[in-house]
Amino acid sequence: MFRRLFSVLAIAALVVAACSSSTPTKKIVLAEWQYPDTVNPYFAQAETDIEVSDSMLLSLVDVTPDLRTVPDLVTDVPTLANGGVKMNGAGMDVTWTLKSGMQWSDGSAITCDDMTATWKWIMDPANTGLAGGTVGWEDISGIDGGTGTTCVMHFSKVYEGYLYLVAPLLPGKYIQSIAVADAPTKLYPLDNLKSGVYDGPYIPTDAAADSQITTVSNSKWSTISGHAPLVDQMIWKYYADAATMLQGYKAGEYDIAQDLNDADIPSLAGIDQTEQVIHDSLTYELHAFNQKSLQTKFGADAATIVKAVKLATDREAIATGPLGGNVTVTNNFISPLTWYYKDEGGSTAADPAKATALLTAAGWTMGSDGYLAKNSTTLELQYCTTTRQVRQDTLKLVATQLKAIGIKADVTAAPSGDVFGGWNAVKDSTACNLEHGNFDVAEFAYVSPLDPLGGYLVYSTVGNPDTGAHDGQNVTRISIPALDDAYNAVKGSVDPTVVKAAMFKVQDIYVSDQNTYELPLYARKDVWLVKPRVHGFTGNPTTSAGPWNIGEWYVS
Amino acid sequence: MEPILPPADATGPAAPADFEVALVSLNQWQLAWRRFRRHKLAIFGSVLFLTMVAIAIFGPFILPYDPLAEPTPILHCVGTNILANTGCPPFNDGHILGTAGGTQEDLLTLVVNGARISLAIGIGAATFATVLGAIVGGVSGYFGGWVDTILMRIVDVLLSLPLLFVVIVFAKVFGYGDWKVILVVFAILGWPSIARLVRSLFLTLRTEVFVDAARAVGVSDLRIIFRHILPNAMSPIIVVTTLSIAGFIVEEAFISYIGFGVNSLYNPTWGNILSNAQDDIIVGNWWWPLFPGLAIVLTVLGINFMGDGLRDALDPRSRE
Amino acid sequence: MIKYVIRRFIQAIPVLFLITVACFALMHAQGNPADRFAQNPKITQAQIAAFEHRWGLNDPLPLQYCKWLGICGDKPFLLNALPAGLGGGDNGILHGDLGYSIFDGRLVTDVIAQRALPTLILCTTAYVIWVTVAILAGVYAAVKRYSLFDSGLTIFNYVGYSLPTFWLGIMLITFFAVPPLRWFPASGMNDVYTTPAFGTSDYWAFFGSNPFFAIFDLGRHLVLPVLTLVTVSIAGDSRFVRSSMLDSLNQDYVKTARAKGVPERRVILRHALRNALLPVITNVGLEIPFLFSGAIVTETIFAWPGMGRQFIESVGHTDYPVLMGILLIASVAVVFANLLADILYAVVDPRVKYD
Repeated sequence: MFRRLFSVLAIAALVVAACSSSTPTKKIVLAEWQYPDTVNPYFAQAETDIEVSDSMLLSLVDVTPDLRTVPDLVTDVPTLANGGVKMNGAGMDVTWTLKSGMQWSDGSAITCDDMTATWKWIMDPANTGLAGGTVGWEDISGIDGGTGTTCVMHFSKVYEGYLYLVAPLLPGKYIQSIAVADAPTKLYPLDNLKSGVYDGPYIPTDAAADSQITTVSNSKWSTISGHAPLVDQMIWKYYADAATMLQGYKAGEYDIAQDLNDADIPSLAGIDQTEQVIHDSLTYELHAFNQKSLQTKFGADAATIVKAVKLATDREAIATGPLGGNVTVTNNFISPLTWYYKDEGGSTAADPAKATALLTAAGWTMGSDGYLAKNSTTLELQYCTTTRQVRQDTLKLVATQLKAIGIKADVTAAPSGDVFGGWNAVKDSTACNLEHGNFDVAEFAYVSPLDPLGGYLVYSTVGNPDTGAHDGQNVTRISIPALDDAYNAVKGSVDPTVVKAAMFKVQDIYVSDQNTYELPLYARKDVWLVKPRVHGFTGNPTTSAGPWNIGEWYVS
Repeated sequence: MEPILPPADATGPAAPADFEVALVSLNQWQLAWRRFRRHKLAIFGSVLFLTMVAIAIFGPFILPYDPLAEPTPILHCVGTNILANTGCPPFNDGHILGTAGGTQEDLLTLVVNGARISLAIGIGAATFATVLGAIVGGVSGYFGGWVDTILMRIVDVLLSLPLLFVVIVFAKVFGYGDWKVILVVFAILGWPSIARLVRSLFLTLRTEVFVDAARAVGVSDLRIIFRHILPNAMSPIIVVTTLSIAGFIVEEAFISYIGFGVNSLYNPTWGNILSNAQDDIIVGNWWWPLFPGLAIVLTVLGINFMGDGLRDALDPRSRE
Repeated sequence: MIKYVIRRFIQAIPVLFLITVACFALMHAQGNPADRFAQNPKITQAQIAAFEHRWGLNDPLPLQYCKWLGICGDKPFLLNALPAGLGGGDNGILHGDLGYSIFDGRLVTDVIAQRALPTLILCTTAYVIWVTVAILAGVYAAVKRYSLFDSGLTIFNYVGYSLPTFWLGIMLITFFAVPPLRWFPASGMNDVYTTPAFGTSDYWAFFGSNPFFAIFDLGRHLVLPVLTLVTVSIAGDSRFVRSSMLDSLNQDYVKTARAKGVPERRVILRHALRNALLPVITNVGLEIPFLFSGAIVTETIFAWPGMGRQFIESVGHTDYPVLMGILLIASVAVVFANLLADILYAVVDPRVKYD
């Protein structure tokens, strides 16, 4: 009886399986292992959020993999040189010429009114939780253009980062239809993405939390790019972690693997080289030294101790060991890919002997427990990082290296929510929280800024999270007047020569003895896996990552 | 039963001239030991378990590598083209079990040091859970009435809370990675089932005559519970405790896998070595997950055999 | 009999109360929940105000607990506990208000509801399979004692019981999902290329039009995760069933039945089995909690979008309302499952006294 039932079921399944293959729709499946918590880039706290929204909402300009700025929604990039930017007293006027005939996914035209609406939306006092705050937007005094396509953005102060400000352009009618105070939950809601208005090549139809987001081709996108999207559906499939995602790739469950990096390169063994897309990334791994806690602990010796630690940390050994030789040690936090990079040279080798000499000269003597001490204070440092295995392995190695010269390193690994949580999002005493400064030395990664102003809140005195609204990113709490001056010069100018000179100053300070706040470890790599049936994928070191040119991908 | 001759220097009545069967009375423990000894599998299991314990206690002293220090990293395993970053195979460069990936530490050292905390958690949590459970179950089963109702409701509540969930929340509140916290959480969540068992034992035992006799003589209730009834209930308790050691060792591996276990930085446990190793199975690194996994399996197997043997030996009614 | 059922129900109520107390205590151990909301972009001011009002976060703790439960609130004490339509309040657990997720501002009940179905599908399938197989295997091994099957089962029991499930899961993927075999999918609930995401309206539409294909797809994706879950459980349970059946077969009444000439099959099925199943029912009932927590690891390995994974993510986001919601629901489900097991036991065993 069972045998008969089983065979009936098997035949039925086969028949149905055969019959269910209807006209083949062209699909590309991308895999990720972190589900986004928003598709609105203005609220995005993580790169994975921006990755998804890149296919749905477009910005005025785009950045190519070789870091050139190219027009996306506009006809050309406005600069001082080509007259797109005109100085106007203390301020400036930027002319954005939108392409004509562009439409949103609901058929309405893309005009300067959308730009004005986006600006008003950002500046609305009821808007809470903008990831980038209102920096730059608050300098805008008005936008002309109305329902036309030639928009003039009036700035009351010169703002250097104007090019990447409108990222993305939001549809005016849609954002005005929802109360600004409700925006975080009701605008582009994750459980009803279909209700949103988009202009990208692929727009979402539905999303199953932690599992899948389905996007279909947007016919209106041809009004922006000149051709229709080349595939019918782009599906985002979500895994629980990178290891299972790699298993899935080998099992052929999807086409493109994202959000991998240098630490995953050893796990790629067995995957064809032609399917691996590996780029130098703008991201770099670093050790951040908390000036406040170090000065509290060691007083005037803090600077010497940091110098000694920097000399004793053998970064080449780190690159060889936990990173398996897949990364290059760097001395500069600015990527060589950027236009204001200055080659500062310098050696990347460690010099523990010099470190010991420095400490001995400062009066530190070896105690009986094998650690240096001075006036009954042991040289003990609190190292913090996230629970990523490669970071824990790195710090364990660093602890061994420091122990060799007598410095005690206590390593704690805390979950990233605790480490990166905002001032009010975690308890004041949360171990290893960067904003609250509960660390001596922290290891994490920064994205080297493409826009030079990106480092402003990280290295300026105004960015100290202990002050003001507690949203600054200067977690090392440094205050170097020369650095502040350089960044203010950058902020207040749109002349590339001035900006470049100021950034050269910043980099000089970074590689000098004045740098007691950061030790760059190595530049990281972005890794993608792409099945041969997908064409057009290039990868991109900026936060837009792989999907930056998603409209150009096609399948064979 | 084998015939036992009286000792040659007996100070009692003169030894009989013939070979008469003279019985020496054995108490219940000696009887149990005898039955246990005949159980080949149980002996094997006990040897396995005790070996693991011995390795845990003495192993770290005879191993050459310091578990707190990370070795100087190399790019390729000595004499091969294999990336050291994913671990070097056994017998390469003096590492009998190979090396772990990432930190490139000797795997044998890791597993031996891991034995310490894994077994400490297992045995410690089992012991505490038993002590707590025996006290609560004994009191509850003996007194009955309101005391019993209230205590058993508490037991019901604790048994309803899913273990893994509560461990995770506790880890959040009391801090990550501390093996002592994990031990305490396991004990807190493990005592209810033992309490239930002890209570049901007490429910039957308190109706025994010797309890009435003790009460008649005026022995206090607490003394009756702990000095009269409890020793009679020891057998099933011992068995359950032994088997729960195995349960806690596997649970420790579980919570390490989801990331809430003992912090692996300075405290290797079999669980966290195993979970660190999972990612690299993909590249053919079979030794890194195999050996801690083998250690867990062998220990649990040994405990199970031992537990079964104990159950058969201590239960006077068993008829295997 | 009815009185027994009612008594057990009444006995369960204090347990449920104590569970809510435990959850409340755990939630407040990390300080005022409203602290998390402040400056969080996902929660609007209106939601924070509503949250603080409903749960009275500035009140003394016992009052807070009462409001959280739903017994206290806008309406007078105890009256507030009634459904809103009958004149009661609308705050608290009793009215189904578990609060808002800190992470994305959605109602906790919505978050959990969306994730409960996949977990139920996975765990119920696994549970039914392992209980059935364990009982069949255990009984057969007990009846055919010392046979090859029996020895094989014993070995399987010992080994299977000591395997950590996550190791097993990863091994299964490595062997069956990855080339060269590729018999089963490595993760997820649906084949991304052919089926819409599970749980979305598109999926149900697809299900309506191609039911067999959808079920076949879901089944294919269930195989490896279910196999991971059942292996360890079968190992443990079949051993228990086997020893219970052996005890039962050794009883005097079985010898009597055989002596009376009752056919062997009837002896086993009608006499020995019924008694052997009694402790099995209790044991199997006690395993229901495992359904909620044991699947966490399996869901993570197989990217199954269930409640267990939601729990871990909520921990990562310190999303206490969701955490407490899941904990509460899981615990309550366990209490009811135990209740069911007790009632079932009472139905099957005529010796249980209803006092």
